[in-house]
Amino acid sequence: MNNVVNIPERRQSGRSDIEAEARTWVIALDGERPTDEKLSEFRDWLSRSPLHKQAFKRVALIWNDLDHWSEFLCPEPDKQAKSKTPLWFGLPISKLATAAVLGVISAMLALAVYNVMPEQAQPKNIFAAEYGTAIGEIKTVALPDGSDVRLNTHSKMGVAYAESARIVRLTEGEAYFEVFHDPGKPFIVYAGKYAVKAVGTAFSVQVIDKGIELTVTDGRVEVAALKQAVAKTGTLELERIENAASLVPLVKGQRVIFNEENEELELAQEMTQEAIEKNLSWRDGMFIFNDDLLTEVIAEINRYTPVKIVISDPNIQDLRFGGYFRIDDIPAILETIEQRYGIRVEQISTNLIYLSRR
Amino acid sequence: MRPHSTITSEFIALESRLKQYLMRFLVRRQDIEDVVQDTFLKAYESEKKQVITSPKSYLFKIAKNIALNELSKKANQLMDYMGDMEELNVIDNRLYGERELEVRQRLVAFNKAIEALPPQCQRVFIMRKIFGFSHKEIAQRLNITVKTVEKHLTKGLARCQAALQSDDDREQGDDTLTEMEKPAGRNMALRRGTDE
Repeated sequence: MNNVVNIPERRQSGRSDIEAEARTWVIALDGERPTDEKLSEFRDWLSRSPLHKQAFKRVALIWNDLDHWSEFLCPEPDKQAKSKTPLWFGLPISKLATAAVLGVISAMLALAVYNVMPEQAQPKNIFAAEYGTAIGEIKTVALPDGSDVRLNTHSKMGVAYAESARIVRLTEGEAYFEVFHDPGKPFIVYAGKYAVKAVGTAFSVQVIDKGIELTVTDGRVEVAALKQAVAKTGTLELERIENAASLVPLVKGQRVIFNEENEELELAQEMTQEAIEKNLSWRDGMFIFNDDLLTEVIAEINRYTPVKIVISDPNIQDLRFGGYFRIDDIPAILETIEQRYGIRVEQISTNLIYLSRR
Repeated sequence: MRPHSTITSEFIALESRLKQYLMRFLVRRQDIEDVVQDTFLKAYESEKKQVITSPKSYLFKIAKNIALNELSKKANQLMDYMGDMEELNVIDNRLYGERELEVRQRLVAFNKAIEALPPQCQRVFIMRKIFGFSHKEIAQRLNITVKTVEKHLTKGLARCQAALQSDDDREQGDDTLTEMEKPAGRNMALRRGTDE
């Protein structure tokens, strides 16, 4: 080595030599305690240049961070229904499929980094609560930011407000959200494998089999498909929907069913104000039926009662029915059906009613 | 002793789940046993002083804290070898909690780098970093020399570092580490220049 230190290329290569030396030292010191001889040799190297020390620290940090690698092989107890034994547990090393191990870690990491902010990095929840309704119950939840949620029958939702966002997790049933306008804190509803993001608007979300049904009554929302359905329990996590697949915008008057089975979304349906009112009449505790098939009417009523109403006679399925009824007065509906169509309403047991032609 | 200790009964019920949980952080059976033991002692002590409202999550929280402490102790060992230098020998004095997201992002890059390694090198690296085998144990199990083990580890480490750098180049990110180091590096180059 002579005076060529000033030439940039040379300095560059000098630097990478130092990095390589630092790596050799990190590995040499890794694990068992080094001999005094080795240790003083190491300190000699360190004292030769502050660059050595910096490089060593840099490399050591990488080496130490890798100690957190194994965390992604084991599930977290709270995040899984049942904590499983780590995949590698008790596996003989000769049978160890390293590629599979890496695959698992990589998948867990992808989830951890892109979908979910870690607990620690997550801003503290300012407000958190759980709400639910029994079968037949409908109630309004006034949230602390001024937003209102109308919870339909047999629904469950968790709410968590963080510094940066307002998060709702709808795990069961249906809810109508009237979101207080706050552009700084998006209001995000997680339901099934979807996230609905709003700023200040009104919309309803219903959890249906393998998907959600969404109706926007005011303003605009965006919907993203998540890689994984949101957990039913545990802490609410602020998922980064910006990174999730396809953000679909929806505006006032549109209704869409998102179904994870046939990935493709059914086209947004434009709804008339009247149709929306009919669809969301439950908000006022009312059923509106307008020339609907009896099967549909009964399916809707069944959502609001623990009693199962069954059309036991296929001949009457296609009858059409209309009317305006109170949700909490299902006997009145049955009475009307009975009188208007001459249908026999038969109480089979406390929890079972059969409908058939008289 | 108290006639009844909630923590004790909770601990007995949770012991095996705590151990499973700790496998996330520690690989050695003995280390896990130690942490479980410490967790109980610590929880038992604090139960005497205060009412623990949610003993279950309390136990998991303590276990995690102790395990992360163990990890950082292990991490500081490399620093200890640096001896008495003029400044404190800490690599990064932020708490793990503050760095967690960053660490995960780094691990994504590392994982990719390790996936690209040749099979034997990859195996050695995983045995060391995930299964916690010592260099000597790896050498014995794979029937190779300790020197070869270290060669593989050094190679893996180099790839990890390279992965990190290419990541940084791509995003020119707000990585505090590089930011911290840039000025120092420049100063050094200047000083070296004037020395000549």
